[in-house]
Amino acid sequence: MNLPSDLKERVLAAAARQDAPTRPQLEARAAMAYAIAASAMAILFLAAGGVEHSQSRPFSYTIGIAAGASAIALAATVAVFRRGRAMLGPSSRAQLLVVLLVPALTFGWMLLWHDHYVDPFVRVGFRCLALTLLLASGPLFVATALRSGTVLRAPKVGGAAIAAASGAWAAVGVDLWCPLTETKHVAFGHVLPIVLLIALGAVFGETLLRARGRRSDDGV
Amino acid sequence: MTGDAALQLLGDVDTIDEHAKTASGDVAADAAMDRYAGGDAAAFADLYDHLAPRLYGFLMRQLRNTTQAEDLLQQAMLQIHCARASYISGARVVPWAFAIARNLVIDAHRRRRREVMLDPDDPSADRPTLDPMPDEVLQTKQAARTIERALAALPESHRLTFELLKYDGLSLAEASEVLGITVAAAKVRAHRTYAALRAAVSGATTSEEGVER
Repeated sequence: MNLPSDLKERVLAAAARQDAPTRPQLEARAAMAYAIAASAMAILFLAAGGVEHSQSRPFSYTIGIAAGASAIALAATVAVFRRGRAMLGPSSRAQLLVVLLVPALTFGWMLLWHDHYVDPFVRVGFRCLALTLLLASGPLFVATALRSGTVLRAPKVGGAAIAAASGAWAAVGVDLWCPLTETKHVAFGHVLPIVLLIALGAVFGETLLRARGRRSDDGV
Repeated sequence: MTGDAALQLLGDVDTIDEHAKTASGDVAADAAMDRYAGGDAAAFADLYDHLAPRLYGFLMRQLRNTTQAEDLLQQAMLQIHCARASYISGARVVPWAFAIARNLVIDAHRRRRREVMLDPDDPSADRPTLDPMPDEVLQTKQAARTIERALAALPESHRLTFELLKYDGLSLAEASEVLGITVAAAKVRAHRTYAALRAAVSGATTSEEGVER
């Protein structure tokens, strides 16, 4: 099919007018952004009291719970962010699995430990809920910003999956901080914030992640 | 006669190679994209040369409007430009580019009612034909129109699968990637589309023979 003769010049000129980072530039920015987000998480964690806050629970149990949570977070991260050679990203099915499994596995994993020791006190879980949301906000913001406007398929599911992975990593920090594994506390303070993050991710996924047409500055 | 020609044009769905070797043009497009992602500004012109004709053909078939097709082609190339940093070395750029174009078409259809504007004086508005032979141009065009009328009656998902495979030269794996479905699902759609088109074309042949009698 014959293309208009001047279209190539117009396209090349439009591309020259729009800044677009190269792969090395984006990799450097991403590394810096994630390092800052991780540092912010660490500072927040320490400011809240760090591991000492859970000292009323046997330390080996704290490490065990956090190790399992880390495995969930790592699996979610691989499923959501590993693209292999697929430019279009992981399948919607894989991302939906992450969205469904992260809260379920987090809940189940913590309940497994409940009968192994006596919770030192009783709390509803407001502080755990708030800490999870705060710890997740950094990586969620960075991941969303780096993928902004690039997701071609199912951006809602994509946003929800990114939020689930971010929430899973936040849960690792909260598990190190919180000594409680009572059912209602876990549901409200540890699982509900992940569900809220997922809902938020789905909403913002549609508006922020979705690939949209780009126009040149002259509107052609 | 038109029906026979149409059946000939359709060919055989079993000839679609699920794991078709990537065409050399596609390999060159991948290499150009890799260079461009790395920062070689001159590679974008090479990328345009490889992708634009195929994308333009796809957009023209979907939009039937040269102005819109040019606009969306520019938008697609700009999207590729803006997302160059996300290109994975070794990935296939053609399915990605087609997925971008398809998304833009979907957005365009959502924004406005689909218009069929064919300017009889505009050569770029010619409907695409399959393997036209110099001595049978008219018959081939009529056959292609028979197929297109039959295609228009099919579900959009089936029509698009057929067009990506037959008109745009994508492999089953590439078409499934563009559409976000499994290769098996793409194969099923392709088979069903071929069967439906053959039935429609055979029906057209039978009615022509009845008229001639």
